[in-house]
Parts: sequence; structure tokens; C-alpha cells
Amino acid sequence: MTTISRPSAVVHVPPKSREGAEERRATWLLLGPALVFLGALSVWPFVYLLYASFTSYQLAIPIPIEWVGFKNFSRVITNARFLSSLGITLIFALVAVPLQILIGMGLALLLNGITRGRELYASLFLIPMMVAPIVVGFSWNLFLNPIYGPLNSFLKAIGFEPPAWAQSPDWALPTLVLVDTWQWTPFVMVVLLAGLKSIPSRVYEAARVDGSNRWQTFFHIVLPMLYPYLTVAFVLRFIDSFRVFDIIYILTRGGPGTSTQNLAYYTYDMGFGRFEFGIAGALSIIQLILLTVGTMLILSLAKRRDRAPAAGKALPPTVVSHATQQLQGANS
Amino acid sequence: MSGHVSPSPASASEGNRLMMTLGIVAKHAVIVLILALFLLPLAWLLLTAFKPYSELFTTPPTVLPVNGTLVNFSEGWAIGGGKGIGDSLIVSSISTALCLILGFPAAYALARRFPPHGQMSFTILSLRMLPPIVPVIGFYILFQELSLFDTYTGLVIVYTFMNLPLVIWLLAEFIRQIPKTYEEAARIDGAPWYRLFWDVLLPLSAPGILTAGILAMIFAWNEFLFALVLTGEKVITLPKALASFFLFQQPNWGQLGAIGIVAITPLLIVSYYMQRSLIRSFSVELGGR
Amino acid sequence: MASVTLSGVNKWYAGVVHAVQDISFRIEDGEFFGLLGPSGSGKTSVLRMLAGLERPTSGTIAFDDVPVQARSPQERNVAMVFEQNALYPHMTARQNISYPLKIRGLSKGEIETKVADVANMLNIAHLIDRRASQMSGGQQQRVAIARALVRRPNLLCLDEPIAHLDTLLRARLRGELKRLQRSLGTTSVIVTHDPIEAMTMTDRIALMRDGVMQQIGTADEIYNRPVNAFVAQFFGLHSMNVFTVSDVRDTPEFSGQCGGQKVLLPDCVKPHVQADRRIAIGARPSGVSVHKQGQAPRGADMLSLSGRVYVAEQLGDSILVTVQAGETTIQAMTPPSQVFGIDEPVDITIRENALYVFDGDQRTLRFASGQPLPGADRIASFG
Repeated sequence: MTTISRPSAVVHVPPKSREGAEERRATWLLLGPALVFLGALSVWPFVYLLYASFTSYQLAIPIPIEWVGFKNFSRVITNARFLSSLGITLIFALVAVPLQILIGMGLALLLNGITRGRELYASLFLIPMMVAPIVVGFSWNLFLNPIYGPLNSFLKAIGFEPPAWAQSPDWALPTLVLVDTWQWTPFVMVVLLAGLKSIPSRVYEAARVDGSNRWQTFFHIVLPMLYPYLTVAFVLRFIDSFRVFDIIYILTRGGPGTSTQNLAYYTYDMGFGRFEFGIAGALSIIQLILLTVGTMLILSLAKRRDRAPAAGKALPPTVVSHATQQLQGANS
Repeated sequence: MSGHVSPSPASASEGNRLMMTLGIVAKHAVIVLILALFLLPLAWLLLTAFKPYSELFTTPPTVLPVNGTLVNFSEGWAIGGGKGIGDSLIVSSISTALCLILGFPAAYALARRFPPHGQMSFTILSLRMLPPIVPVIGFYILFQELSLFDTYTGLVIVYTFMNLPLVIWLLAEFIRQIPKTYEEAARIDGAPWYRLFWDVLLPLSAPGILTAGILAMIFAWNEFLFALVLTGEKVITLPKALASFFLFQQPNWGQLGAIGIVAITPLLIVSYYMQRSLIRSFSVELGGR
Repeated sequence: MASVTLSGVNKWYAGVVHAVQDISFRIEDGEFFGLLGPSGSGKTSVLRMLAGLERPTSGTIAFDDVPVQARSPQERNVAMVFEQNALYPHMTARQNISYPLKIRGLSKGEIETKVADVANMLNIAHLIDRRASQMSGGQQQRVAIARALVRRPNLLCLDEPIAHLDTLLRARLRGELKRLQRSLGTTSVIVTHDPIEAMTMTDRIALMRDGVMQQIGTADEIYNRPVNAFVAQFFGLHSMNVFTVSDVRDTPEFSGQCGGQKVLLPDCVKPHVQADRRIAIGARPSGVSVHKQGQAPRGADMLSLSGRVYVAEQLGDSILVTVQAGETTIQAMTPPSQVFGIDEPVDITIRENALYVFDGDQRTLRFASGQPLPGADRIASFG
């Protein structure tokens, strides 16, 4: 409006500068090695995986390998064991994970209520997450041993007739859910504790001034503000629930019968127990698809509910990264 | 466990103050109780490691070892714990070093040249979400073809693949917090790119490198499925050793407990310091604003 | 030390943002040059192109008439002081200052002497073994300046070097920097958004807005001959009042309308009224007088209009009175003896010798301080 220079008559769209070209070259030089490594190791085994799942590939038997199309897939999805293992996986995703979120929320609120010693408590709570799942499985096996374990001795002493836990058909799955919850609730707790700390104290003060009581404050203010953190915790734990393997391997070996075989264990059993690589490959690909679809579904639901700052995108990056770094603590 | 008394208004009576103190003490008591129950299974593992064989199979079990012994540690070491520790150390430290060497330049490029929530970041991060059971079949066939089955090289490659996305992501997050002016100052000062990395970026990223490295190390150290499937008799990492002994008919729990304790103690010490910084960074970066 | 010439420099970001538009100017050898403008004006982009941190999309940059736009900062031998985070935090002050010399492969002895010299010059010898975190903001900037000067650069680039410091320290460092530049004679360019900083420190100033050069000149030239209303309002301690008067007519008296308020115009304005009967008037607050209603003097050499006091702010040695005249607000600096209440009706007068006249679109200065501008068109077409 008040510029004096004549508006430049020629609006020149700039050519791609040499500087840009050099920067791009430097970028790819830096990123290149890692991308090539990751790319090669994602694509190469994946090609073999596809190959196995669309052929009659069997490791132990030297029969000619034939293209069988979707036969492996149809054999998998019509199999009752597939459905039951899918059910077990979903129990970890939809029962264990909400349980972890519920307990994790409780612990986070409890720790958020104190100032002194909070860091120490939090780091003690985090111990199970750092322990190798194999060791976790082993510890629980000792702890829950029906004869020599301390828990059952204690229960008997106070007059209960305790179950055989991992060895009992009825209790094996709940036992695994318990162990998974024990190991991963602390992760949820840390994420939510970070969320609670991100709420400025003036928000609580304003709520108090407005005359809202504890429950109202929690449901109307704290919970909505925690929403992105809850989403992070839920999504990461959901993805993680497909990894549960080590504790099954140690505690139940999928048994009794096949009552605790989730998809991961079933895949392992087909591939490396029976060397049915075609079936195992098809199972792997099905899991990949389920995981991808499930994650997208949760994220889109989260986004729809929390439209204002689209939750999926507005997740604080630090939460995601810190959460992610926890993600693989054990089941990897 | 003294209660922290927040400054109460001058009008608050003695009684009110007492109630507040009691409330805080009660909270601490509840937390300590939960924590104690929570850590019981691990405590039991620790106690088992010091029990002689004769004390393992008694009903009811002895809580504290009556004839405490350290023999489980030396026997555990001898029956394969030592080999497990050695192999785990080799595989996890080499793969961690590779992750950092490949990951740091990539993280720098990602942090400086790509948007934080862009396609590139997402692609790299999504690789990290892959459950190991999905690629393990492909890896198995590939390793048979390339004669990498049951080799240190093979396991190092897989662990690097498994941890590299996370290392890149964490380091990129860290580098994004470093102001660009330091790099520009170095360019103005005339530093060529390798001195820019060595003199300026690496020292400034040291805390991030440490965190990412320790995490990569822990994950490699704890990993089980890849080790189970992709190695045989030559390479036996600690989790694999433990699992294989455990499948004996009547394993000596004391020895296994000792191996387990040795396997987790270094991690707990390291992660104790890390968790502190982790929780602090949560509060600083998210709550401090 | 070198002279610096920019000709036809353009900078596009991502092919969509035209951040610097066809800029040309010359900085003489040993000159202290200011790049002034609000944020987003492109001044920092110009500095970064001078330093070699960025390359112009088109145009040339020459040091001593040798084109350097393709050269690295090191090849140009430029130094730079950043707004903040200027020092490497993991190095002591001494290591920071020596770093550019170490890169250039100087011997240990040489480095030591040079660092000691520059540390004495900037009064930081006692801080030499501290890290950035152990120094105050002002001390850090001093060390940063030392690092910039230790290798006698061809061009010293200062990117808001004192903007982050508190007011008192800023005033002190302003003077120090000016003395230092004079005594060393290093060609220097400072980027700032603060007109006072630019006025007090530099020999000449280039004022930019939205990537376009507005005016280049000494502080005196820009203050007294602002080429357009933006420059007039941006440059100076208090913003100039500028308002457009429309519907200017000769009868019954020489007057016009401003925001629904009648304005009596002085005769000197007459030659500048446009065909569409519009004109823009400018006056610095110090040139505006406020009078109780009906007590204003009248004359053909005076502009006058009436309004109400919106607010009167005590500044100690004067009062800043804001008057609402129709939809226009006009600020006046009045002596502390004159007391006005809020909403009090007042008359405003501006004498011819305090008057600036712009065209109706406020783009071009026509008349300043009682003198018509024969060269107004020439200045206006600059840049």
C-alpha cells in the first residue's frame, strides 16, 4: 500500500537453484546409507515372505515348489485354530490394553498427587518394563508355581483353593493377561503422568474457583486434556499387543492345548514347529494387514472424536517419541 | 517418607494442616504398598537366585534363603550364562554402534531437511511398529540363502534393522532442539562438513546419542524371537539360553534365577538414571510451557 | 575489509515466497550499514546472502567488485554475530574465539596472541575460560563479537546482536559497537528492527518492507525526507501521524474531509492536491499542537481540525495526547503544563514547517517541512 517501488513488472518464477541441488545431494548422502539398509532389509525378506505365502514352500520336505495362489490364505482363514488365535490376540488388544490404561491412569493420578519422591516411585514402577520378557516369564513362573510358588502357598495358608495358573485350562489366559498387564501398565502410567504434568496448575485453580468438585474436574477438564495422551498410549499398546510372544513361550507354550496361542505364537508354531512356511507366511501377511487396518481405524476414530486439534496429528511429538522408545522394551 | 506440606493459607487451622499432612502420608503409604506388591515376583526371583537346590522344592517354600549361597551364580555362568552374556554383549553392542553410525547422519538430514510429521518421518517410524513375527519368516529364508543363519553377523544385521528406525527418530527429535545457529556459526567460521559434524554436532548431540544408544542396547539385549528363530547352537544370547534351560524337565531354578538377575541388573542400573531423565524431559518439554 | 555491492538480488523460498525483491545497493569500504525493517521485511535474508549462508536466487553480490555469490562464507572471509545461541555451548570463551583460527590452521602461538588481543579489546579477558552457560547474555554477545573480529573479516554481519539484552545494556553496547567499528574500520552490516538502533549506530540505513527496498540514506535523510508514509511511520521514536484528506475544495475555505471531520488546510498544500481531490498529510507528534476548544490560532500557514481527547499519557518532560478526530487518531506531544481531560473537546493545529504531504495513496512524499520537493520523484523511484 505504501511502498514506493514500482511493482516489478516481470514476476519471475525462480529456476531450481544450484544451492537447492547441492542441498538435496547432501541430504541423500546423509540419509542414503540408513535408507538403503532399512529398505533392503524390509523389501528383501518381504519378497521371500510373499514367495513363501503364495507357494507350497516347505522347509523340511524337498518337494518341488509350486505356485498355489491364495490357497495358503484360504486354508488359514477357514481354519478354526486361526480364528481362536485371532481371538486370543484380540483379547490382549481389547482386554489387556484397556486394563493397563485403567490401572495406569490410577497410578498416574496417585503419583501426580504427591511431589516428593515422585521420580523415585516412577522409576521403581518402570522396572518391569526394562526386564527382558523372558526373565519376566520366568519370574512369574516361579511366583505362580502351583506347588512350590509363594502365592499359592500363601493362598492355601489363608484357606483358599488356588488354581494352577498357567497350567490350568481356565486360568492360563487370564494369567498371561495379568503378566502382560504387569509389565506394560507402567508404560501407560508414564505417558499419562506426562499428560497430567502438562496440565498447568492454573487450570485446576480455575476449576476450583468455578466451584467444580473433584469428580467434575476430572471428567470435564482433566480427562479431555489427557485425550491425546490416552490416544498415544492406546495406539502404541494396541500395536504392541500383536508382539506378545515371549511370555507365552515361557509360561504356557500356547497350551494347555491351543488355548493360549495368539497369532504370533501360532505363526511361530506353523513356521518353526511344523515348517509349514506357506501357512506361516500367509499368517504373517494377515497380521500385517490386521495391524495396519486396526491402527488406522483407532487413529481415525480418535481424530473424529477430537476434531478441534486433530488428535492423530496433534499428538505431542515428544510423547510419541518417548512413548515409542518404551514401546519395544520387552516384546521385541 | 515425610509428607510434603504445601503452603496453606494463613486462615487454615492447625487441624486442617494436620489433615493435609496425614493425607499425603496416606498417599505415600498406598504407593509404597502397591509398589511392594508390584515388585514381588522380581523379589522372589532375586531370593531364588540365592537358594541352594535343596531349598527350591519345599512346600511351603522358604521365603528368605535359609542356607544362602552364591553357588548358583558360578554354576549359572558355567552352564551357559557366561556364553549368553558374552554373545548378548557382542551382538547388542555391535548392532548399537551400527545403529548410531548409520542413524546419526540420517537423523540430521531428517531433522533439518524434512518436516517433523512428514511422510519420511512416518515411513521410518512405521517400520519400528512392525511386530518381529511378521518379517522373521522372510529373514529366516534369506539367512539360509546367504549363509547368515546362526551367525553373529546375521543377528547384528537384524538387531540393527530392528533398532535403527527408533534411533533415527530419537536423534532427529533431539537434533531438532539444537538451534541451527550453531551450524551456521560453524559455516561462517569456515568449518568443512566433517568438522561441523565432529566439532559441533556430535558434542551437542551427546546426551541424545547416549539415550538412543542405551535404548538400542537394551532392546537388543532383551530380544528373544529373532534369536530363537535365526540362530542355532553357535550363537546363544542370554534370553535364548535362559529359555532353553527352562525347557528342561526339572531345571535348577536357582541357577536360572542367577542368570536372570545378572541379565537384568545392568539394565536396571542404567535405566534408573535414564528414567529420571526421561520423566524429567516429559515434564520439561510438555509441562514446562 | 571490502566494499560490497548488491545488484538485482532476488530470493525465493520454496519457489513461492518472494522474500527479497530486486534489491540493489552498495556498502562502501569501512562503512557501518544498517538493514532496518519490521519482521518479515527480508532484511535478515539479505544479511544471510551477504554472509554466504544462503545464495541469491538471482542477481549478483560483489566484494570489491568481485562477484562472490557462489562462494562459501569462508571464501568470502565474513564473520557473523547471531541474535542468540551465538556461542558453541560445549566450548569455553577461549575455545569459541579460537575456533575460526584453528580451522584456518594457525599455529598455537598465533592463536593465543590474537585471542588475547581481541579479548582485551572487548574487555572479556576475565571470562576467557567460562562456558556460555556461565556468562550473562551481554557477556556472551561480547564473546561472540570477539570471535567475529579475531580474524579481521572482510565483512562483519550483525544479526540483531543486542536485541535480546535488557534496555540499559543495549544502550551501552550500542555505543561500544559503534566505537569498535570506527576504530577497526571493518565494513559492517547490522540487521535490526529497532529504528533507534539503526539511527544511533550506523552511517547509512536501508529500510525494507515485505522484501522491497523502501529507502536508503543517512538517518537524517530518512527522518526528514521519508519517501512514503510507511517509512515516515516506521522511522523515529514516535510514529508519524499520517491521514488522508479527501474531497478537498477551495470554497468557501480551503478544506477537506477526514474521517467525517472537516480539516482546514494551509495554502502550501494546494499545488499537491490530486485530480481526485485527495491528499495525505503527515506530521510528527512533536509538530502537532493541541488547544482548548476555540482557543486555536488560525492562519493560511496552518492546518487545523477539531476532535476530542482520547487519552493523555504523562511522559515526564512532555505529555503524549491522543486525539480522536472523526475516525482518525492523531498523537501530539504537548508541554507538561497543558492539562487535558479525557473526552475534552480540543482543536488541533499543525504549522506548515512541520507538515509532510504525501499523495492520496500515501505512496510518495510531495512536500516536507515547509519546502516542496523538486526531487521527490527521483527519491521515490529509488529501489
